Amino acid sequence: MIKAGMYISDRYEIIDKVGSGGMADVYKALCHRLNRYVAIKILKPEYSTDASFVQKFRAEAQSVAGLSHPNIVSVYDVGEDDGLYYIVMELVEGITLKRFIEKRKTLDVKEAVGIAIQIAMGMEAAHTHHIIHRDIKPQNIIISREGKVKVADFGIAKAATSNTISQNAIGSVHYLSPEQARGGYSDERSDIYSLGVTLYEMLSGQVPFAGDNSVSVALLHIQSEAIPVRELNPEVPLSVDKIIQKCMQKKPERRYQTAAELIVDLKRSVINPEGDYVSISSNAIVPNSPTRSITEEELNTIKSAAKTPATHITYSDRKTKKKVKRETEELDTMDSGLEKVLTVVSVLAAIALLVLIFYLAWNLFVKDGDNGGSGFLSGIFNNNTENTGTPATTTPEAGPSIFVPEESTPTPSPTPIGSVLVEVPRVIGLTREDAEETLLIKSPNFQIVFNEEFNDTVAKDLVAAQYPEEHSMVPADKQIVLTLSVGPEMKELVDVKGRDSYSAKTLLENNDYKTEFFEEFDDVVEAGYVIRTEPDAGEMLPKGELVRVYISRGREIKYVECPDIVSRKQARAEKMLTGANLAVGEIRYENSDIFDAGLVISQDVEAGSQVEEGSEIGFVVSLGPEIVTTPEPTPDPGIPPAGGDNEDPAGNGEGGFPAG
Amino acid sequence: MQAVAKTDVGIMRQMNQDYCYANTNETGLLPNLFIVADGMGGHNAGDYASRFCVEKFVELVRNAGSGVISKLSFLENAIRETNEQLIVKAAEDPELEGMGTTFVVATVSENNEMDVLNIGDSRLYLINSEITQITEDHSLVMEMVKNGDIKKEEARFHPKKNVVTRAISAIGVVIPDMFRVPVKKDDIILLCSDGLSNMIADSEIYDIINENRDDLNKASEVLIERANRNGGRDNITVVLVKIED
Repeated sequence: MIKAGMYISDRYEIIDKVGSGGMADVYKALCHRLNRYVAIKILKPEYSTDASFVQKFRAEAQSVAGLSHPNIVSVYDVGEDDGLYYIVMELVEGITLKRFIEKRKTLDVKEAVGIAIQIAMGMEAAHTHHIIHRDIKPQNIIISREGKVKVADFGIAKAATSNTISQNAIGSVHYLSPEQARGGYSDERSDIYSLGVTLYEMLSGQVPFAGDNSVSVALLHIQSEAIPVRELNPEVPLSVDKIIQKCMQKKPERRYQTAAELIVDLKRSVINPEGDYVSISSNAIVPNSPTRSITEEELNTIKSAAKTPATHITYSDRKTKKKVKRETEELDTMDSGLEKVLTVVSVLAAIALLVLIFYLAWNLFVKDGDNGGSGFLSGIFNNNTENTGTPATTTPEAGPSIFVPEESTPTPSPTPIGSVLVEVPRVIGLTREDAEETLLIKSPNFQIVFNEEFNDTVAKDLVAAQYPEEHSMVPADKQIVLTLSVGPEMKELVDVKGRDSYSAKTLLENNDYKTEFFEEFDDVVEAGYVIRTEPDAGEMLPKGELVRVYISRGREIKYVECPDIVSRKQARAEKMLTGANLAVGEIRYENSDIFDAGLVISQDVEAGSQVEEGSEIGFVVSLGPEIVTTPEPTPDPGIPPAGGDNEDPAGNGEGGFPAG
Repeated sequence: MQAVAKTDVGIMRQMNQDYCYANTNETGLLPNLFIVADGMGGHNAGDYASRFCVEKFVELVRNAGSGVISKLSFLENAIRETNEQLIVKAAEDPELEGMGTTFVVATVSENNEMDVLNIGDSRLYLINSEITQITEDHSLVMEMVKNGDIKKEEARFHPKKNVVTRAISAIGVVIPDMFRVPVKKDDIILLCSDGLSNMIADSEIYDIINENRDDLNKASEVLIERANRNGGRDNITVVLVKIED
């Protein structure tokens, strides 16, 4: 038995038991090496002998050990001591988000969004390492005493790269994504769904789908639409309401694809709560098959998954259950073994039921007629995901009929023209061609009319609005008006040239642009002021675009090395100076006994010294030796007087002077 | 005692690599704790370093067992331990290689003694009837000032002013400067990153704080706005603490 005072690996002194889970107990311990308190999760002795458990336990630790993020409970160490397998984790003292919600009933919007951002940041870090949590729920989120939000219990996390079509559809059923409920492939976006549910609960004080039993809840996740959170709590702004809706889309393709995208919108909602920028796009829809129908292979997988005996169920001994019940009250978090066990049971039951339903549906329809049958099946999914009016009174006992919307008839017979009513499908988000096709499949006699409009959220050339709305029952030859987006409205970019960086930033951001600043040298614009922007002022730009702003650092002062020009011919010396980015300064002429006429005697700036680029460097040119006695009465006209007006001795320097 | 902490990305930077912590209540065995850290290193490394070190440091303080002999040596040990953990982190991830952070930490005891540890060029000022810089920058320009190469007033505008000579980094074990300073009621303590002190002269910092003595929040906002108006070339972090009774 593990008792207080016991040492593990001569390093961790057990202080107290703080929690108990399905296969492990959690203790508070003191790490004597680093003199700090830690949480240590020890595999229960009865499972330490089971190789597959040990493997699972270690895999859990290894998947998280690579993660270090302020919003994730860190794993410090994994080890084994005399047959005890353990994981050492960060000790977080605080309460679970579940308790926090229970205490507060509903959270303030800003508070809830703040918590959601922190959860999403933890998730993002995990997802970057291909670790999916698969069990995001308020019970697994701890709010520490300092107010830090930490995601705990990567107990069922698995590297995303491994095959996850699973028999382990674990996860608390209230927070379970539809694909997990179906026992299908779950990925990062499943966590995003669960976070959406968590945020929903924070703001409304209730989970979106509640039912008499886990099976009915799982089914609601698959087929039903939640009451918008705004209807439950009017304080919730539009943006947050839409963020939750986007997280909780039935189809993963329609949710935020990454936690990072979600974080962007959450942060934006804090600044601009009522803005309408959260777009739940449907661009992931594959033309002609807007909904995914179940494949035979998938059906078999679910079937076999349900048949696989779930070993997890068998190891929930009664003692553990009782203990957990008593202790969860004071627990920081860690595991809630009972809940997990119950969840496994109920989810497996839900899967089994679903398999039965699909199996019946398969037998009834698919086997008979190819087109009609599969059309019906995709119809089921179609309505699951898009029918906002699905009745919420579903009980699992109701059987397959609950899935069949009254209006849709699974008969493949041609649609009769005339006064027969047809349901208008949803075509928002589709291209012109796909929208036409979708409508004409429904009724070849629809009269389709297009018009165009600016739209900030729907991409150019996609349908932004439709009239009549989806689900309307209309005559088969009804005129359908579709509004195509021509993209966001373009605005002329304001001119910030010459402004200081602070006012440029303020002005651009007030005009709904994002900014990024760069610095560069400029000879004209004073340091600290805007030289130019990219795109340029006056260009037409949609709102929200990034504008790059270039700020002057003033004139760049470069230093160059002054070349050694002594003893060079004047023309050569001048070329050397200009070649070194220097200017030719004052040239003086003197007689010299040492240097031949036309050669440089001395330079004003010492060779090899650093001078500012463009400086003028003066030098002295030899006139040759001074002639004391002159045989001729007049000076040679080829020799210019010192500082004289001879145009260009340098230009044709070579032969310009008589040598000596 | 009251305190505010604010950090701003500034104008020129895309990312805030500063990190700060302020707690007027007991933190582990310390009566209160204030930290400013200014991270350095490419990509996400600087961002990571400052955050990691502050959080690690606070965690170490919080989880420390009893038996603290002296506060200064306790703080010093915590910094060393933080440094060692950073070295481990840097070794694990090549992207974090070369990361580092400045670190200025202060705690005020009940008998009004302030203990300060500093590494790098973040600063701690004491403001009463005047402004006094308690910490000394571990920067190249400060070395140049000490050498007499440049004047102190020129340091703020020197092109090499960002070069730090000491930091908590993956390179080696850190040697912090330690100060013990008496404080009194109504004194204001300012911990800041160089994004503030490089953009605003000490005298102007004093004027802003002095004008907003009774509203630390306002003071911190004005300081940050002024630093941004002056160009906002670096991340700006301000922690203000007012001593009461």
